[in-house]
Amino acid sequence: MREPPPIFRLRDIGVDYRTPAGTVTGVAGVTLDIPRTGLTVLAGPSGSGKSTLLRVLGLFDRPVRGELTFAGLDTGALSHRRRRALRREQLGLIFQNPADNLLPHLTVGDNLRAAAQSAGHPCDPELLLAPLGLSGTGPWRVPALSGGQQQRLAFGCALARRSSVILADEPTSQLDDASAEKVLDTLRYLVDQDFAVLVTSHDERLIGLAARVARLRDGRLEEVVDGAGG
Amino acid sequence: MRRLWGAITTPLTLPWRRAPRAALSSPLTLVVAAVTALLTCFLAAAAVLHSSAAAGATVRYQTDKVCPDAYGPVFTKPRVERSQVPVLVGAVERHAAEHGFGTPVVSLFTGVNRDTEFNGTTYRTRLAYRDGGLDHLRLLEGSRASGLWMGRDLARSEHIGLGTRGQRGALPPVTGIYADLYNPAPRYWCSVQDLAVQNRLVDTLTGSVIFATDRAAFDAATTETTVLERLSITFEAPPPATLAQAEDRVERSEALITAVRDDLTRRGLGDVLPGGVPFERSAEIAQQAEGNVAFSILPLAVLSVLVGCAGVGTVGLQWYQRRHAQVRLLCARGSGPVALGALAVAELGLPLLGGGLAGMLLARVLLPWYGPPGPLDADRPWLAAAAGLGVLALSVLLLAGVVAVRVHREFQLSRAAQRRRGLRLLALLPWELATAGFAVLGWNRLSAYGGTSGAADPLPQVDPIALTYPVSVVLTVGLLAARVAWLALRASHRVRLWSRPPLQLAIRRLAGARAPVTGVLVIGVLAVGTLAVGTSIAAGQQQALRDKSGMFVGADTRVDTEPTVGRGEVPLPEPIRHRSTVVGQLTGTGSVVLVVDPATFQDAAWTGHLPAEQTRALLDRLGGGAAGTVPALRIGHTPGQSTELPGLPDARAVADLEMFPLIGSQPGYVVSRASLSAEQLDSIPRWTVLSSAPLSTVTQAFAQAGLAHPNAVSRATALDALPFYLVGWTFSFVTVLGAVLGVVAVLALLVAVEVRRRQNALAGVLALRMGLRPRALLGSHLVEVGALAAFAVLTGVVSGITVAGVSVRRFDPARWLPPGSGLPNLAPFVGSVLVVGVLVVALAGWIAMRSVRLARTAELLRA
Repeated sequence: MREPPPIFRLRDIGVDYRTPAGTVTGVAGVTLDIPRTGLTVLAGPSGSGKSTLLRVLGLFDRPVRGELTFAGLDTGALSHRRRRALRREQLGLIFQNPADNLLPHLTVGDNLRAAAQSAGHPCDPELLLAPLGLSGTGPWRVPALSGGQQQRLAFGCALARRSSVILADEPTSQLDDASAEKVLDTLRYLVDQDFAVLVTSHDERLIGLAARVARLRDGRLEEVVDGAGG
Repeated sequence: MRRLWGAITTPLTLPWRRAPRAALSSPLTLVVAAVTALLTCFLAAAAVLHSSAAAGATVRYQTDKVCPDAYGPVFTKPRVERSQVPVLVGAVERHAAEHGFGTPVVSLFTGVNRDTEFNGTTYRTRLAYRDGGLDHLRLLEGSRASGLWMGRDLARSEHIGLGTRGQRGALPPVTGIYADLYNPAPRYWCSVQDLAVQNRLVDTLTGSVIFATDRAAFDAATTETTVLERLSITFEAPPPATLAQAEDRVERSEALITAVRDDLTRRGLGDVLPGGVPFERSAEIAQQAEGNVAFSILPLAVLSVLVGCAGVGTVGLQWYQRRHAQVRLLCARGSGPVALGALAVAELGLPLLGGGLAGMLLARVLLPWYGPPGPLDADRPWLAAAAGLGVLALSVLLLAGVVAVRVHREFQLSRAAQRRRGLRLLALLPWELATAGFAVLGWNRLSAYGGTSGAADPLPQVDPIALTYPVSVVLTVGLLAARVAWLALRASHRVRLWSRPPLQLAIRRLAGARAPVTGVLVIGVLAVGTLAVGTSIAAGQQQALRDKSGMFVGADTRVDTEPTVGRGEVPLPEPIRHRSTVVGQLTGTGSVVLVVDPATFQDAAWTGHLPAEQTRALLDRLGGGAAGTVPALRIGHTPGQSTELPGLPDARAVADLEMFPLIGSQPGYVVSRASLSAEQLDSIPRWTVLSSAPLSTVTQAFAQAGLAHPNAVSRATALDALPFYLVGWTFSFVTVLGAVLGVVAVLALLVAVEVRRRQNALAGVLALRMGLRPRALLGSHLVEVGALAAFAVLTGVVSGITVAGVSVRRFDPARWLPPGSGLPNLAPFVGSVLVVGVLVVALAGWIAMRSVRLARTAELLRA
């Protein structure tokens, strides 16, 4: 059976930063395919370029070298408006700090509604909260949730938006073990729902779940391992 | 279409709909946004209102200088044939209503008839009639029955009683005795004062004015007269309150004059009734005053509104930093720069709107406190509101624009994009050279500033560049200070003061916030400097007007009097005796000699330029005298000044003064009358009474005593105050501007500290854990904020006061009259600025320490 085309296709991607000391290379020569379903982990030590690559994949940054296609579309040629439209309709981004993924002045239910509205979808919060283990928290204010609950709610927002791809930046790094475990459950749930999930992490439990692990070091792709958690 | 749909629907989604409530999470931002909009809109509206109020105040001032029946058209026909009067009056009456004027006031005067007979004796009298005039005469005896009203002086001295018919029965009977009009007569008689007030200088009966009670009586009394001295037709109307009313009045007056002229021409009489609009010049002056003030404050108003807009931009940046996580989240969900700009507006729009509207309202409500004391034209509040709303709209757009640009740069442009070099180049440009050049230009223009004021053109010819000179200097100093501070902070990493950690930390914090520090410094210097300039020059003008008027008149009231009064043979009238002094004046040897009575001079004369004790001591030194000389105060000494006094012993100078009342700064001497003999006093040609009583009290007292009192002058009206007022009004706006900038500077400082709360807290907590004592940390914050505040206050005060001191004399609109304009006592101002500075520093230190006290270290580190 023929394998479906990757959702992201990276070819010789390079990103540079300008600093007062001169130009610094953040990522260089990364060639990688991200599968359309399943969990892919970008692993590597701090400063290896994981987050930079995630910004590129989230269509915030344009690579200065190489080619990035999303669902067969060359993103390099897209206007700002088209890139925003792709983010709105296709991508769900989860940031490292749980609180950064939510609007603190809205309730839990309203956060889900706001996320759904941003993509132009209707939303029934309770239906989304149950599988995340957050039943009954709809009327709660966000600060009343723990860090782990907030992070799961962030994934719930991505579900509400019906994003086809979820990009998460070290989603367990700021959580205790118990909370991190529940986030892993959520990730499993998302994988079961056939989402493409791309996570940066050096959490070995999370790496163990991955269908594909891409290891980065000093901005370069060190190795790609398939089937670890597949 | 889809794009449009997105633009419409995005604000309807939850984050935008709930944004106003979300704003409550940061009250400080709300307050700062509201106050910034308030100040910006206040200034925009205030500039319009201030100019209009200047016009209103000028109109009000001018109405006091024009006769009350001369605000409209004035028709005056001297030497008019009596038979023509009904025709001329009829022509005016026919056209008055169609131009919005009521019933005209007709005044008729005969010439002085030298042989008007009463009871067999002839007198010099003038027959007069004025519509409604009886209401403005005080009837002492008799009634308003048709006939003639005779003045009390003539009637009582000659025993002419009621019912007497003059000219052997040819005149109507005397039906009333009225209190004669004396100069200064009530304002009602102003336009006909020369004919309605009898001349009593020589003979109490000369020129007695007999008023007819009605036109019929006047006609009956003047049957033998073919030519009247004067026909005057005026209109009684309330004075115009505003420039628009004044212009309307002038316009209608001119139209009426034209209509009357055309009417009379059609009747074959030609241009026999000259008409004029005395108030036209006043309206022109008011218009000029409005233009002058508007042009003068416009550059400053624009500058301050730009500062306000910069404040709104800073609020936008601060909002962006505070809401960064949410902005990033919404960007990740596909929201664009415009939508996120709209989110900022949704959150801060209400405070901006509320603040802006409050600013406009405050500008209107506080106008009596900061603006010229004049009413506004009806359309000016709307114009001010339009200016305020324009600035408000600009502020809202700016807020949205700042956020949108930041979003675009951070989330749409690659991080690897070229850094913007434009702003760096802008910072490198020597802007202070441009403002310094502007200041030099203003200084040169200022040299001719006071020379153009005169009787024909009472306002200084405005030169906005000249008027902005002081602020240009302050701005230059502010920019220079900013550049010095910028470079010093840039080089501050070389400073190694770790033996004094609080100081080193303060320097590093300042260096770390170089941009806001420089911004606060510029605004602070500008605020303190403009406050100093505005306060000094505005108060200096008021003081100059007071001093110059006092020096010119010599007292509150001055009248010349008869030699018998001067020599002391006739006492001063009782009502003013204890508030007046008699001064003799003579010239002849190049000096003005003033003969004063040391016992009464100080209490009656204006000696405001000298301390009371000094005046007393100086006057006491005028006693005694060696043989052949007389002790004298020498005034305005010049090398060639002779000690010879005309007809008096030589002067022996016991003290030198730069100026003295009445003499001014001319070369002169002041001697005591006690030092002179009776013969010497006899030789003094001119005697003047100086009094601290009002003019009307003095003239009435002299009139009742039957003493001549020519050349009566009041200190309140001796000088044309308008040029002084104009400069004062202009700089009072500068003061307002300085106050507003001061508030902006204080807010900017406090907000800068508050915005840095997280860094402050983290750094503070770490410093405390490393062993720094809380008191030392507080000291460090106080050193940091205090250094900035002290630098701003010191630079602002020194530059402001210096430039005000240098330029205040050049703003003097009457340089020919001493004393020259000078700086007022600035100690209260400097004291107030210092107190406010200390309070602000203490508050900023408290805010910084509070963030450290309340910090939860673990959260700070994790974040």
